[in-house]
Amino acid sequence: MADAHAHDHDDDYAVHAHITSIRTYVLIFGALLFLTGLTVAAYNIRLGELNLTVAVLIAMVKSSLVGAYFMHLKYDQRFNVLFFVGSLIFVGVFMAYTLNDTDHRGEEGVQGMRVDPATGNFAYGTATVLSETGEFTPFPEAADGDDPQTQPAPSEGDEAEAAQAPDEVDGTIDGDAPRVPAAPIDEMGEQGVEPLDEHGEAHDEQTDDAVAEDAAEEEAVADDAE
Amino acid sequence: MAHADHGPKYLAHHFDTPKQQFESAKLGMWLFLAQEILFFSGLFVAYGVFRTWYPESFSVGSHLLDWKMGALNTVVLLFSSFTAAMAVRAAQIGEQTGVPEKDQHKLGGRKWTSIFLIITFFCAAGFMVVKYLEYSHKIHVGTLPGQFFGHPGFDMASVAGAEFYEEMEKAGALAYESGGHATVPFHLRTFFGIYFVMTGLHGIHVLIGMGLLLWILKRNASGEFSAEYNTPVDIFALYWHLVDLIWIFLFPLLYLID
Repeated sequence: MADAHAHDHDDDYAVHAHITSIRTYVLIFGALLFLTGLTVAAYNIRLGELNLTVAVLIAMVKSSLVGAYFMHLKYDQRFNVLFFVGSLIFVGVFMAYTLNDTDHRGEEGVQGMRVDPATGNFAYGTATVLSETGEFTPFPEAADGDDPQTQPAPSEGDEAEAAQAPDEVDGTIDGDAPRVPAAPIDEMGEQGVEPLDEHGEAHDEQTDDAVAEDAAEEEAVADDAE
Repeated sequence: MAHADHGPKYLAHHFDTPKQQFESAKLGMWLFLAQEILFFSGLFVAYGVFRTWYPESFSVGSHLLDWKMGALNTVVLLFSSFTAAMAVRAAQIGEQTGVPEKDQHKLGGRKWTSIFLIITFFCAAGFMVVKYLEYSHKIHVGTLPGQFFGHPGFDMASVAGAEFYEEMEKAGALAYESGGHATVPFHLRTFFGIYFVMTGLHGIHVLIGMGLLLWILKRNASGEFSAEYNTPVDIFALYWHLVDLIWIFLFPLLYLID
């Protein structure tokens, strides 16, 4: 390499990469395989609490080997090592400060619950104890979603709407039943009551909330028309 | 300095020497890798928070992952890192024309660079195939994350089918009896949310790496690289090793919990 450049400042000019031997690479690869096997073995021994610590320690040794040899950090500029190690230190700071918060929320209550002393309620992230024993319903509104509810009476909004969008009124619209798109409620806000011919047939699947919201919107449209 | 005197073809105009160019490229890449580590760290911290909040859910969730698949992918990725390192070595050695037989490095030169890059590419593809098998199984049994994960009061036996139920039983995960039928910890969905986002983001990195590999392979085949200039192979390999590093942590953290 060096002879290729008959140059005064040869050392500052050409790149002199350190060429690692095949033997070293094979040894490192072997060590990585061995450590992977060790991780799996430690898992199958079931160390309990120690499991996580052992697994993370082995992963750290593995990543040090990859970093030092495969990524050439051992022979690289120290400045580059600083970035690598520095970013890992900041990940540690990020992890430690966050967990120090989330692991220490509230005070010990009954059945292992964590209680926020200021409010007397569950501390954030701790209500799961009850949900797992079936005493706490995370989404109570989902339980009564199937209740039958009378559909709002057809309003003059139908006619007003028909007047506004004559192109979309076709044979699929039943004059007596309210036209309700089967689209989810959050989409209704954007779509309004326009997509008649796509959704007009799907009356059976509408949700009660959708009916109510649609009726309200139709009234609003009717008001506008007047 | 006149342009003609500037130096070899691979030396960009804004650098004085190949060495300066090489070290700038390395420094830039290491800055990018540090950014990648911090980018993934948000997910690792989320993992730490939810694992300490919901240890049962994480324990059950990891039993529903096939650690043999994870271990296989770990070995595949470690081997691909090894071949990527060997590709860089082959590129660093370069063509050895005029070097006496006894002084020649083995497995060096453009041909070997290509061979090792191709092996790396097929390892990456193999990794994605295993990932695909795992994902399609997860989707089949209904453990997609978030709102797609069944519903509150989720009954695994009826929603996910007998197959998954048996798996749960084998894993000893049916500890939560409620109303006469087996249910699962509510935050199992949180575990699978984290599983899909972390492995998914990692998988995207593997796919990007495969694209970069083809690009580097093409440039190597065109004879662009030599013992004097092989920085792109080196830089690509650094990216590939980082993808490997992240998997080294993901494997025990997701597949081997308790």
